[in-house]
Amino acid sequence: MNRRLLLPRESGLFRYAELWLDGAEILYVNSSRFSERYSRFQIADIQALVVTEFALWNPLRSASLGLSFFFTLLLLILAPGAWAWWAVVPGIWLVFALFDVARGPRCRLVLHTAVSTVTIEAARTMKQANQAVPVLRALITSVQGELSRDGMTITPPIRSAGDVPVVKNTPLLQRVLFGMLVAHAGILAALFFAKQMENGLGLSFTLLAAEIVMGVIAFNRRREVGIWVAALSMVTAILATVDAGVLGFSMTKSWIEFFRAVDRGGVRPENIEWLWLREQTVARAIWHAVVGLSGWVAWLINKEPDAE
Amino acid sequence: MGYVVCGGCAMQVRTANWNAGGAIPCPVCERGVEVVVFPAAMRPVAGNPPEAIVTGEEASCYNHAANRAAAACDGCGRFLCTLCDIPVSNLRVCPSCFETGKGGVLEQVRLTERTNFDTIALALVTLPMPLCWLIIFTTPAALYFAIKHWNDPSPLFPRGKWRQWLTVAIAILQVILIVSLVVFIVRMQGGNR
Repeated sequence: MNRRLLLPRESGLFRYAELWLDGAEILYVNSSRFSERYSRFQIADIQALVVTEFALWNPLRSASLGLSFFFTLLLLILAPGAWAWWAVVPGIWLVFALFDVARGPRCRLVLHTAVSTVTIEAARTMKQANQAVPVLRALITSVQGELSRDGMTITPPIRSAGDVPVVKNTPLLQRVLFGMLVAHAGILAALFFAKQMENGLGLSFTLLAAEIVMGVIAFNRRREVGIWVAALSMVTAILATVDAGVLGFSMTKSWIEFFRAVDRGGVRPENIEWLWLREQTVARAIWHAVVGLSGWVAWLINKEPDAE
Repeated sequence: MGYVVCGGCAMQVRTANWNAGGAIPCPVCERGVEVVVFPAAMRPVAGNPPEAIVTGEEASCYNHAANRAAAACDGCGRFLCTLCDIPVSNLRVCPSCFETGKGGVLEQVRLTERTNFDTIALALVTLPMPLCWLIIFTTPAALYFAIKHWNDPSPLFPRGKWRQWLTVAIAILQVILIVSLVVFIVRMQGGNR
């Protein structure tokens, strides 16, 4: 298979789009995850690329960010004792809204041939378009040559399509995953030094479940990233599965012991003794820190674009 | 090439603003528009216009009686003018054979769409899990999709079988769960009597 991914995959929950260089053609994949549509464009037939920039702030985005911020703040003030429970929903909304803003201004990239006009969903932000246009331009001019501004003269191609660089990047999922591992390690370390390790068990259980799912999905996207990022994603999924098993076993056993003690009488709910609490907190914090930081190092090595 | 339009307001971009080396504000919506035009845009329109029949002895196109036939369809054998002649790889076919895939045309035409039944099966077996009762219906459907499309080819991007294996494994667990629940309920009712 002589095919190269030209740009990092642009993906959402129920869609993704990719641009591939496939011989003398550009292969555009637009997927809803349940089905994929393929469009092929001969490089020699592409007539124009049009990028239209859209403003970052529109009423919907402003309202989303404002409301999520307002409700998170409101719940933090109204329920300071139970903030971790009540503020979590608007908090997640706020994170998504901030992430949406951090992606920067949006754009529409349209590709023209003599018989078709296609919106390329693989570049939906100006950041992506600024990566996509130079790569596509270099690719197309390597086949067709360059057209002067007045449209009167054509400079012949100076290099072959095979020499055109591709943009290498680590997709967001891996960055979020490794960031989450480091954050998880930090929370565990803070709880360890505050001698409140039992408060981290529920959070760890939720985060481990998320790490398993994200690790598997991140490994499944291995063709977009370097070998080390893919391998570390898989290591994360395996370690998180083992860790979740240990945590599940220890919590179950602790609860069984607790109920037996309650049956015998004289034990208060806050007196539950968690099995291997100190050991598993330390081990969990260490592997999260090591794998998370290694992931970031692998990403930093991998993120250098090949493009000129 | 005819024209290009602003992606925001569909206003035509003046040719003077093509290949400007950056974004130019659209005069109507004021959004930045960058137009990069390539030499292919300056090529004359390809294709030969159909020739009219001069004498009565000439073969005419099946679809256009006034046009001279230029080729025969490899699917159905009908005569075709240059308007109706569609080159597909090493074949020449008429529009109806192209549409129906007659004469091995479909094998020649590049794949344009694919349904990921493995993803559908996995979604069917996992997404309804929070609504417990729904798995009675979705588990058999997921198993059906996973098994029926087990050997579906994936010509463009090879897809592993892990989704199908995972679907089958989860579906078996769900079937065991459903059967256990039914047995448990039946026994409880038996015990109550």
